[in-house]
Amino acid sequence: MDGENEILIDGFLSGTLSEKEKQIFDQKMIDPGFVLEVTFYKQMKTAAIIEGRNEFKKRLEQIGLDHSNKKEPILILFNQAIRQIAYPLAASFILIVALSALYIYQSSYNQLSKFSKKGGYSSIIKTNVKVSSLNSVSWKQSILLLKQTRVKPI
Amino acid sequence: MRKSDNIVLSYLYAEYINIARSIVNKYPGYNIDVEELLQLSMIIFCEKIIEPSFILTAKLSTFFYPFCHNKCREMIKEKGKNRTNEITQEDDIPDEKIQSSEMEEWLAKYGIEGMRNCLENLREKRKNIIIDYYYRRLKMADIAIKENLSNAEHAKVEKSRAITDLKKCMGI
Repeated sequence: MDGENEILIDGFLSGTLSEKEKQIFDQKMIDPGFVLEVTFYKQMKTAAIIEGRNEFKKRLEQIGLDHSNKKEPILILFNQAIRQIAYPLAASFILIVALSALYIYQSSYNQLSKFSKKGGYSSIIKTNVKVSSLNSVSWKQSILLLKQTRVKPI
Repeated sequence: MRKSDNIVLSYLYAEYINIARSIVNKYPGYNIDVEELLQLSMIIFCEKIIEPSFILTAKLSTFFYPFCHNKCREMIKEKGKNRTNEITQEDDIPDEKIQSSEMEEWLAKYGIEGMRNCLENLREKRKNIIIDYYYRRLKMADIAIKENLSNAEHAKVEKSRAITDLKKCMGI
């Protein structure tokens, strides 16, 4: 094949033919020999693209290997550790705190409702303990005072 | 990047691995390999960049993101179809639409695998010239420098010899 045809086909494959060249190309496409040449070049370009990509992929894989073999900075390792360990730990901690708070709230509510069912502060008054006397003494002394007057524990 | 320099590629690899990672994190449960995604995206990205008509109008990473995202979606689809990620598919290779019964016969006889085998059997330098010219779209002067040839004319002669060798191998 002469050089002119080679330039025409290369131009056709790269899409850089001018209008005039396109016309010449179309005229030549009547010739089966030329069609075969074009097909050959097209196949060659496709094979070159596939080979080129595979080669490029291998190079990138090698770069990837080099990249992963490099020692990672402490900051990146720390960030990874945080992502992998600290977040689940923090989530568990928050869950435990929330459940504990719920449990404490529930139990104190139950105690309060039991206390009010038994008559509340009126039950203390019935035992002849003056509430005013509770105010004047310390908390420990108040508990002792209540025990002495046989107030049933709630 | 157009000359696919290793230093530039290494730099981009290190810079863009986090972009690939962030995209993979958007699709949990698909087990997409981050490095595989990055490599395949970089191939398409670099192919786009070497197009003569390409003009960069945004930050390079901004431009890279959609390539990576689209590739990730493709990989998810491929996983669904149980297809491999081998780059032997010709789906995205432009088809110049040449139709001829003779051509079809010829294709049926040799196919792309035949051409690939012939290309692999070429001398290393000639094979590189074909790949540099048709895949990397390098100019003859650049190919001459890359392959340690005296000048662009010498590279052209080597290219013609490579084509002649291929034709012989393919039985033309």
